[in-house]
Amino acid sequence: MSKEITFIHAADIHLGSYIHSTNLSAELNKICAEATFEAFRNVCDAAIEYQVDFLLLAGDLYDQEAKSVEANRFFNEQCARLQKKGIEVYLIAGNHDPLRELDLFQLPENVFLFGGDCSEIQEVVDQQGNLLARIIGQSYRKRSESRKMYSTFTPPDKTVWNIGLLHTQLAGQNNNYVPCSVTELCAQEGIDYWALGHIHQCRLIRSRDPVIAYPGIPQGRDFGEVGVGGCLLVRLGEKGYVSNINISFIPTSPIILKRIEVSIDGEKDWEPGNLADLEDLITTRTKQLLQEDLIVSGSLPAAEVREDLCSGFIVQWVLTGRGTINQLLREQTEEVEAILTENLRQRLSTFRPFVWTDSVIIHTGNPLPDLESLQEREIFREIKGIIDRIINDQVVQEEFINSIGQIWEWQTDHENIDEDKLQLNEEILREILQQAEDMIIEDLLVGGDNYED
Amino acid sequence: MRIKNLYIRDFGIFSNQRLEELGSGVVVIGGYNRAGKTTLLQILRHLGYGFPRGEIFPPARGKYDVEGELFLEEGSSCNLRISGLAEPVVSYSQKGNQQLWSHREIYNQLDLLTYHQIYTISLDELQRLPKNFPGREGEKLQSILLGAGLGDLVLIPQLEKNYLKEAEKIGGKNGTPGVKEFKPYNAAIREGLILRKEALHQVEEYREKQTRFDEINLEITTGEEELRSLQCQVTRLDVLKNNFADCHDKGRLEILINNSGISTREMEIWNGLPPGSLERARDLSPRMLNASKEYNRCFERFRDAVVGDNINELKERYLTHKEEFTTLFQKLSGLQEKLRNYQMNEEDCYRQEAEIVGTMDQLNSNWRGDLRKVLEISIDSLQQDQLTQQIEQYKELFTKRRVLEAKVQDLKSEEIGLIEVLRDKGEDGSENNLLRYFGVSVLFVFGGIGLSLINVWAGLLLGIAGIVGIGLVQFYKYSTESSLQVERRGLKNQLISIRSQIEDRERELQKTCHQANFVENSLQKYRQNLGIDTPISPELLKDYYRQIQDLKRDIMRMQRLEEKMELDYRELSQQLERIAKLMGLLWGDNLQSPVRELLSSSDELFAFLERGIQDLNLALDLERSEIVLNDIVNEVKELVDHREDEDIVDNLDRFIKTGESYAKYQELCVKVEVLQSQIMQSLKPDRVRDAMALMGVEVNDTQQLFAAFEEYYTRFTSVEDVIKHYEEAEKSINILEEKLKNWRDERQSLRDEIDRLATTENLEKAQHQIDQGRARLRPLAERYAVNNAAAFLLAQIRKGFIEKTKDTLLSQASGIFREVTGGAYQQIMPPEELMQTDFQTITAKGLVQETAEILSRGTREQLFLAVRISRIKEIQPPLPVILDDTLVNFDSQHISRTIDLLLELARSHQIFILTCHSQLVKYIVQRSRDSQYWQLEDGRFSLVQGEELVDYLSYTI
Repeated sequence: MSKEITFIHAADIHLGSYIHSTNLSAELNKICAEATFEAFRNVCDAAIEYQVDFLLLAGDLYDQEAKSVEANRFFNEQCARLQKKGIEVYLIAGNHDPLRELDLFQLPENVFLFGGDCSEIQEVVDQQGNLLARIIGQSYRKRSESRKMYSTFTPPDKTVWNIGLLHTQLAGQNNNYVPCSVTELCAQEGIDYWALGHIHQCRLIRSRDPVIAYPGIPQGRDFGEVGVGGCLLVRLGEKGYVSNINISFIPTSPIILKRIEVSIDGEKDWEPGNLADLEDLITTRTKQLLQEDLIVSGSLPAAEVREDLCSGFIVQWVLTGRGTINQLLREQTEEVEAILTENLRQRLSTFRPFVWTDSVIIHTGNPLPDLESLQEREIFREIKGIIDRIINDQVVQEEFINSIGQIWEWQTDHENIDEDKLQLNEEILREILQQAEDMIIEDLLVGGDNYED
Repeated sequence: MRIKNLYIRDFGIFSNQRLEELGSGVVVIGGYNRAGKTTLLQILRHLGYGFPRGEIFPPARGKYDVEGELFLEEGSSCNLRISGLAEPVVSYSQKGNQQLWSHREIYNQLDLLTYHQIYTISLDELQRLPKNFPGREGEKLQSILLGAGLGDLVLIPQLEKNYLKEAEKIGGKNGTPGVKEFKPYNAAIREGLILRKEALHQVEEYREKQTRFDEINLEITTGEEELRSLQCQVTRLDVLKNNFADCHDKGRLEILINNSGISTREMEIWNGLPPGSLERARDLSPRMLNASKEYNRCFERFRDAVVGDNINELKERYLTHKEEFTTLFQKLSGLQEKLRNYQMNEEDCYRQEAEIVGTMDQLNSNWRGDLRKVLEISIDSLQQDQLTQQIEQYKELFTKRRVLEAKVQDLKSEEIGLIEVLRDKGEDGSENNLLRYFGVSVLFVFGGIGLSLINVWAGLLLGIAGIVGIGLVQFYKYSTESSLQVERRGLKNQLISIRSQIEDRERELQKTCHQANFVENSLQKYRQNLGIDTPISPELLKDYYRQIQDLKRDIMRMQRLEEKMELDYRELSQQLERIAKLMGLLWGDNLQSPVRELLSSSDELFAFLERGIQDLNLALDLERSEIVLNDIVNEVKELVDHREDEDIVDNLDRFIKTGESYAKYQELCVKVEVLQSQIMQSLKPDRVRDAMALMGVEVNDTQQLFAAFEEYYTRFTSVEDVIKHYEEAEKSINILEEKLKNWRDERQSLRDEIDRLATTENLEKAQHQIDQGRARLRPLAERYAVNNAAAFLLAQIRKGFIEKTKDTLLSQASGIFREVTGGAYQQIMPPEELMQTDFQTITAKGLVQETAEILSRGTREQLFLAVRISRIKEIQPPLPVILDDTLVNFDSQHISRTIDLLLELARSHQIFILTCHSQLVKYIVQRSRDSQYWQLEDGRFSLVQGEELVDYLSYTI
């Protein structure tokens, strides 16, 4: 009979990487620089608090762009803490810290690093030497792995929980990060829990037979990784009972990045007339933010959140909607954005947890007199139609992306970006299209008026 | 919409003209040139829009004032009035539930240009490019002609260009990261990337430095170990150098020990013997020799002294009586002295007796030498004391009597003297003198009193003198009388005392006399007792008594001497008998002589005893020497493993010899031990022990340590060899220390470098720069993207419209064109450049005319008319159409077909046809009954019949 085991499944620690926010105060800069460390410390605290049997790290412990001796030292310190509590750490190398580069660092005694040449099986035993579980894993040898390494994850029997430790994008067509599909993982005989890493959002792909889960990144670092990051606390009881699989989300990120849209025409009878009104609007939204529940972990229950977990928020305010103030905002957009950003930083400086305004982005438009009728105009219908095609038609989309300049690249691989370019995703694409549409509408209206004149 | 009434109050040629009840179909307005057709065209063209400033219109007399009554599509009507240059004002005569349209809404939101170009058609409008339509205007026209919202499309190319231009300004044509406005931020990012790459390289560098650090640490550790090894070697060599001589000596001594020749058995024996055995043996050897000699000497002396062969028996005999001999010999001198005393006492006794007898004879011849008589006289010491006491008492009483008698005599003389004194004291003459003196004084008083009568002062003085004199007399009298009385009383008392004393002395004298008589009597008794017949004085009695006493004592002393002599005699006899007896025992002589003889042969006996004693002493010496010898032999036997058949002296000598060998062996061993101890002392310090241990040998205890050192010693041939090695090791240490110093310096630098590399400062800085650059790049890139996106969208729209116009938009126009041209042309197609104001045409034979330019004028006008009619048909609700001599260039067939087309259009649209051509009117009249005809002449309208108008215009022509 299999015994109950408890473990923490974490991934993509990216230890030592930074929160990409600019012009931070010295104090915040320090907090941000330590955020990934703090998040990993929280992971280890949870491991100790919940007295887990072991800790799984499903790749990308370090960040390829932030490898540092300090990160290595910190990791070793934390592992030493775990070692004192008898907690083993099982680690695979991911695309950010493939074995080829990971060997720069020293590993503590209680850390087992899976090899990269073939899958390896590690047996977890209790103090009496009884077999508790098997962990099967394989590391990345280099920054991309096209091998279907999971296909060799073959446990000898099913008497105990067999856990597969894999760093993959779970995309069959992606040859960089272990191409595989959910079906293929399900077909892999004997694995009860697929502890995955690579995707930075917490996702419970399957809740049973087998469980397939991504814990997400413990600390988001840019506005592509917004929200609360964490790890998974997994309790596996006796095998064969669904109810014996208990997975909960443990939030770990001390800093929460948020991209919050504030509409200037959200109020029915009021619209901001000046920058001060806008600041009031954003301040009100900030108060709401601080009262909101932090945890949004999908279908997973969340473990109790430590009161002191969240040090603060870094927010990108996106002003949307239409109003007369748009004229003011659009006169010198960048300056206005800078002024609002600076004013909000000052104004929100007393909030606790802190709320730091990373930036204010103006996506507002002029008010349109008869929007409904405008929308019925052929050209606008045409525009909508084309936008739909850009979003939905791959060919048109590619054509569009090519047209918006080499400065942009489609973010097919969030792990491997060209930093002298900007990354385009569906959300940004929509925003750009929306802005383009708004601009066309306004210009057409203005152009039409000109004709009349 | 159609115009029901038109009131032209003031506009150009027109003044207060009314066109009422205008037809809903074709309304032909015919007139000559300058009649006002074109002015009317302008009025109709601008009715829904007003007269814009800047455009040239025929002048008004006052201000423009035009009003039209319009029928709207749903049946309502309104007025539209233009006053001056203001916008048209719509007014409704019947305000009910009807929808109130603005003038724009009445005109389908069509802009003026569109309305102008589509609905108000002159020959100008039927040109490929109407007048005043350069550039963008031409594109707009094209969009107007193509319709289907292409009003917006007309802006597209320009907007597209603008967007692209704006985008290009930001990021060039391709939006390459490193160009235009992107450039500085891209440069910053790239710089940041390089910095980050370098910072990331820190990890490798750190690892390299760390590896080097580890290597150098290892080198230092190895070097330190080597140094320690060398230092230990130096320590060992130093110790060895200092102890080399001792080690050498020790080796030599050990060879001697090995060659000491002492057997193992002897060694064992000697090891088993207590310490000092050799000394004991050495001590025993001369002692045994001496004892042996002494024994032989005693034996010979004894043998010489005694008579007999059996010396041992003799010796035993002596020794048997040793006590007796000794006792007797010890008493010998006393005995001899006693014998001598005895003989002297005997002589003394004889002499005393003779003296006593002589004294007795002197004292009392009656005794006749009979000692008993003297002895019988009882004289004891008590009596003697009493006698002496009584004699003394007698002498005292006698003296006392004499003293008392003298005393009485003296007292009596003193009594007589006193009596005389008393008598003298009773008759004193001083009293008489006083009386005299008193009398004189009284006289002086009285004389004074008397004198006072004469001379007061003299009398008073004299009187006072008299009084003083009386006082003095009285004072003297009193004092004198009192002292005399005292003296007399004293004398009387003295006299009484003396008389009393006299009586006492006399009584005492009598008593003394009586006592003297008593004593005298007692003394008399003593005389008698002593046998003194004659009275003698007490003093003599006392001497006699003492002489008797002395005599008696002498006699008694003599008697005691005799008694003592008797005792001495007995004792002497006894002793002499013992001597004699002993002589008998020793020599067989039996001296049974009487005692007296013994006394006489005492010297012989004494000589015998002295000789015997000498022999005894010899025997004792012999015995003692034998005992001593035996004791020594026993001691030797205790010490030496002796067999009876061996000579004990030889044995002892041999024993001593081996002992000495053993001692020498021991001595060597001790020396070796001392040397070893000295060496061990050198090995004692921990550093030496550690140094030895470093050779890989066990040095858990001192023995192991020493063994290791001895082994180490054997590695070197001489002290010079050791020194050579020592110096070499010292040299190596210096070299190694220098190396270690350099390594440590390098290690410190590496440590600093590693600390620097371990920081993330550079990485943070680089990342910050990248983030900063990207943050600033983002709005630019977004602007670039938005502009390009807008351009893209517009381009897509444009393309879409081309496709659309190809398939649907121009199909109706094609039909119209085909109809107008009588099938000579089959299709109109948009140009390659959509917004180029041009069309392609396809003839019945399938020839494609790429541009309208190559068409004949008539055909071209037919083409553009067809396109416009097509658009007019599309736009709903219908608006009035105005044709100003549009068909003049058509031939009759084409006019006829066009009229048919217009009449068909007139079913839905009000069509104003302005013309000066009667033929055209004629065609219309022939084909339509419902058309309305207005004659226009010099700005005045009149409703006429068709034929009238034909005639009017024909006439003119």
